[in-house]
Formats: sequence, structure tokens, C-alpha cells
Amino acid sequence: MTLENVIERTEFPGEGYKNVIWSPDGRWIASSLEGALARHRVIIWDAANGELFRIYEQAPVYGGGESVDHIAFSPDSSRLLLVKGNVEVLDVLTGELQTMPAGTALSQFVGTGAWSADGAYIASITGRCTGGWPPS
Amino acid sequence: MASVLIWNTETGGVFILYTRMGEGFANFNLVWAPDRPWLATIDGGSVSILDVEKQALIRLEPEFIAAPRLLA
Repeated sequence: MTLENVIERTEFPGEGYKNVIWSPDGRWIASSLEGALARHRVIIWDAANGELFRIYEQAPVYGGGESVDHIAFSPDSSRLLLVKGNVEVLDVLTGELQTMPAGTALSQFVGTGAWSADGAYIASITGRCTGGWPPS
Repeated sequence: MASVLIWNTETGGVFILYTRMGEGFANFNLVWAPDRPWLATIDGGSVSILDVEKQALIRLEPEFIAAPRLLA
């Protein structure tokens, strides 16, 4: 099965796929969507059979963009990093979601994030929001 | 102001490793070393290497970026 075939099996009207990544072990394929979204959405497929395995949906976070900016699998492929105004870690198998604490409530995370090679650390970049908190 | 934040995924601990004053951070990027907990960051016109476990920053001037001993 090719990657193209997998992606074509799942369509969301009005949304487009922003990026696509393989898990390091080749088991999973993940993609974030963008478009006229009321919610942030990330799709995870089982690469072996092309079946949709998990859909992540959350309300947009203040300071984030219209979609999940960046996704990255942990080195052991068990977790997915989501950078989208805040930083979250999704357990692929269980769906458990962990929101990483920010240094300040006025932080906004942008653009990128990465796992260390051993999966022990996550790095991301934050700046201060120009607006107040909470957003009006 | 833009900062590089590091989380310990086992303990949930977080710390700010590096902060830069100024506007915008569109040119920021970061990448981990493949064999140690060192993080390289691109910050506009400079590249920095950070030892996360020691929470130590080495800012590299452009002439040092190509030095093999620093990148090996």
C-alpha cells in the first residue's frame, strides 16, 4: 500500500492536509489538517492496513494558528508531539493527552518542536502573546 | 522575547533553556543531536548548541560553526 492510497481513504470536506509524517518504526502515519476549522485536527492511520486509527480534535488554543503547526513522533513511535499554541503529547495507543506546562500563561508556542534522540526531552520555542490573557 | 523551553517527558519538569530579546521568531528552528541530549538552535543569524542536562548554553559565532570539533 502506498502513502497516497492511505491518504485518499480519509477525506474531510473543507479541510486539507498540511503535512504528513511516518512514525520511526513505520507503524503509523500522521497528518494535521488545515482549512476553515472550528477545531484542530490530526489524523493517525495504521500504515499496515491504511485504516484510520485515531482522530485528535481540540479547540484552537489562543496564540496558535488555524491548524496544528507541527507534529512529531517520539523516537519509540508511542507518542505524538503536537505544537499548536500550546504543546501537547498524545499517546498513540491509548489516546491519553498530556498538556505540557508552559513557563508562563502568556506563552505561545509556534512552529516547531522536537524530541531528543532518547525521547527523554521535548524542546519547543515560545514567545509572549501581544494580547491579554485570557483572550477576549 | 522568544525562549526555548525544554520538558522532561518522564518527570513533566519544564525549564527555560535560552531566551532571546527582540521581536519575532520566524527564523527559529531547533534540532537534537542523535547521540546526546544536546540541542542546536537557529536564532536568526546565529547557531547555538545547548547541553540540556547541564542547562548550559554555548553560543557559537559564525566562525565557529564550521569547526569539526564542535560539531562532531
